[in-house]
Amino acid sequence: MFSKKVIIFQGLFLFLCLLTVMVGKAVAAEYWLYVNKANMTMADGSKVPVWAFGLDKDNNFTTTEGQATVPGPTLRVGPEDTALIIHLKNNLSEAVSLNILGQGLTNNSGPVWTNFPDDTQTWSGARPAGNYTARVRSFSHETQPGEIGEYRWESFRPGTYLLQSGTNPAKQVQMGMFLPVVKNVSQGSAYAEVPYDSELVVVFHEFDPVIQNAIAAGVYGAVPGAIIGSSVLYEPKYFLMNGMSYPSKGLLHINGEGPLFQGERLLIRFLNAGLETHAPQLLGLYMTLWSEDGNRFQYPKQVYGFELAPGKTADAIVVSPKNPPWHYPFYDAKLNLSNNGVYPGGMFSYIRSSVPKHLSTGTVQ
Amino acid sequence: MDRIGKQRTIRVVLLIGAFLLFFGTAAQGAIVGISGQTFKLVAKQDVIVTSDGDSTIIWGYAVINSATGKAGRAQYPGPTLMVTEDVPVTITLTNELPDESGNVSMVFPGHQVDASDGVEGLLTREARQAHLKPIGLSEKTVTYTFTPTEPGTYLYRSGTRADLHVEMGLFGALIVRPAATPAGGDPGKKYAYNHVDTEYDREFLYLVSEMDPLIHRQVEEQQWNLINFTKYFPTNWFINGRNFPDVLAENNVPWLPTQPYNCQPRMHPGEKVLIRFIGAGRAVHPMHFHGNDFETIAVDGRLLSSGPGVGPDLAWQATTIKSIPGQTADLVWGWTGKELGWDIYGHSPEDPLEPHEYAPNHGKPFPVVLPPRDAVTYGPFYSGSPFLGGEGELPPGHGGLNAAGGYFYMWHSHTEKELTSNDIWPGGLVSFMIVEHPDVPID
Repeated sequence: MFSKKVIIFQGLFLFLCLLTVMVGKAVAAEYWLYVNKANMTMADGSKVPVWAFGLDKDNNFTTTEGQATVPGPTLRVGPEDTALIIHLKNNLSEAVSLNILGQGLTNNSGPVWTNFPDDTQTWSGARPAGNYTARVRSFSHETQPGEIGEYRWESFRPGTYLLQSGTNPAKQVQMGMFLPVVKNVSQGSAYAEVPYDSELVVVFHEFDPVIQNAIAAGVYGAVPGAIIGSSVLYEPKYFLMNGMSYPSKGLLHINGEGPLFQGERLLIRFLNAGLETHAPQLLGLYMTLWSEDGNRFQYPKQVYGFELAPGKTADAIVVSPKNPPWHYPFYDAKLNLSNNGVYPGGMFSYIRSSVPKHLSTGTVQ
Repeated sequence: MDRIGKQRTIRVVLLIGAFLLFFGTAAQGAIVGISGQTFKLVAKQDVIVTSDGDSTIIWGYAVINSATGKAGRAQYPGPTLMVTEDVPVTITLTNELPDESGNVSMVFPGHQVDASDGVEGLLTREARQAHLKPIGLSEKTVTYTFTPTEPGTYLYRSGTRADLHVEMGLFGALIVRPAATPAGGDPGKKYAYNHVDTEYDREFLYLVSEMDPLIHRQVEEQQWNLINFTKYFPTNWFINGRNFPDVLAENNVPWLPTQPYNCQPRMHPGEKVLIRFIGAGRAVHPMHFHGNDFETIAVDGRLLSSGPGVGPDLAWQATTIKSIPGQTADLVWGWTGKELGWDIYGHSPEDPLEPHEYAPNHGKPFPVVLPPRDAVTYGPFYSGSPFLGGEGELPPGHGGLNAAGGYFYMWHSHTEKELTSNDIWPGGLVSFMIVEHPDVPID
């Protein structure tokens, strides 16, 4: 027979155990993300309109403390997190949605259809019965202007992934609605047996100011008074790595804790959020290519460069060849090395052994 | 019919031999370039000829003759530099580009290069603009030294205003040969890398590039402000610096003085052909190799290997490979006629085997009755006989372009518009692999 005191104690103990298990098994990384209209200053001083993601740091959307950037902030899913939850506040004047290439959206009620070209009526799920002119506008449920939506990926796979707008992507993605989402397989390891000491996340993309100005002015697409019908004549003028181009300050710093000493391992997470293929190349170093699209290779490849197609991600390890300081040129071997046609510029930077003190992504005003 | 085919084979081989005695060698089946440890180069302006009949201004690397000290003409692409693993290489580059062209340099992806003299640039040290009075005498010349630590296929490019310089022709191939025969290898044979599974019989360069003639006109007319690579629209495509059909002419022909390198792969059945494939320009070209699959054994000068010493065990087979800007790949290609199911020599079953003949097809008859000569139109590379090394009666007016009775396999870009030279067809990214009868001399 147990005394009442012992039973209470045991009950309390069990409760604490359960609580410990529940806390230890954190289930989700949760972010409060907003999308804003903004302008971004290019390296030559010209301004390009963008739609930019920012993080609301106090998680309430009553104030927006974070800075909107293109690409948006890197979202990190902890190795122990099984899920990613994003609350999305839409500060644009049209519907938006979220899509992560290679990850299955859990609360997905199917695509959103509209009555093309009027865009005044929507249906969700299957094609509206008997309607053969409706078109898909969004891959999943939309968040309307001024509203807050929720997007959940309940079994999030480790790797490097690209989050993009899932609504009229040909329009919204090139406005800047993309960001990296990363999940390590364990603390300090991108994939099994791929540990690293420092990390560099680099998103390749381009801007076509003519198209982006037309989108911002509401004269793009199948709308009355449109001056540009689609992106078929896409002709980018700015070739960007993390929203910046040479010679912007702060371009491509290593997001590590400190300088890279000889033999230490730098993980480079490559993403292409643009509409064109690029060929990142390191001059003077080899890298070990470990993955593409979040899938670890069984055997890695030694390369100094590779093809990075739109929508793709890749992860590579560079081993620091010597103690700091060092730097190696890092650029697009497709030679997009100008800002609006003026050399030098574009996708050109250096990988450095040390940690600069600047922002890592292009900021907006 | 088989017997006739064979007799004709022998006759045509004798004829080819006589032809060679008179006219020297046919198009060489090898990579030509300059070998050694020290290279002296000059960047200069010159002109190339394109197969649409146009001529285009280029900037290229020229070789300084070590005996005379004089620079040759600029060439497109630059000289193929052939060096040896673990042997230090020194390259000096002098800037003799026209006024206003700017500095010039060389970068060597995949190698740790020390640069000295010249002036500091974005990617490396540069040879200073020719017309500027140098502050120090060494500024017009820059020196690059490095020790290639691994054999393989590499490229070099200008690292100065690389968008314009690469467009203008400042690039070339760098081949690093193994220092020694690999373990278990035969010293009499050739190996691309330090493993016996990289053996080859013949090697060919496949360096692809492209041009937008408008940019070259702007350079010629000094309209520097108009040059804008966001408007880039290439209409001329090159293998080893020539368009089709100029690729088929010999190396170093006098009528192409600034385009010394051909692309005319030839082989005997059963040989292993190494294709050193280089994306030297800024565009992607899907090069398609008719006749058989190739194996990609290395990329960027590194064997596709699952671990040290195991050889190219991660090689992949394909028929089409994209040229990735700045990337190199080594492809091994072979051909025996295995899949044909008939005897390519027209043998009778009792005849002896030819070297490397695919034995299961020996003596198997040609599977169709050939239509009469005037019932069909022959392609220009049909010899008149379906048999390797054979000949036959050709209709009047036929070019007779296949005197040795070889099998022509088209190797070309599958972006079909690139089979033109500035909108003139045929041109651009086309060449042919010719499989020759074993008795036809190639070298």
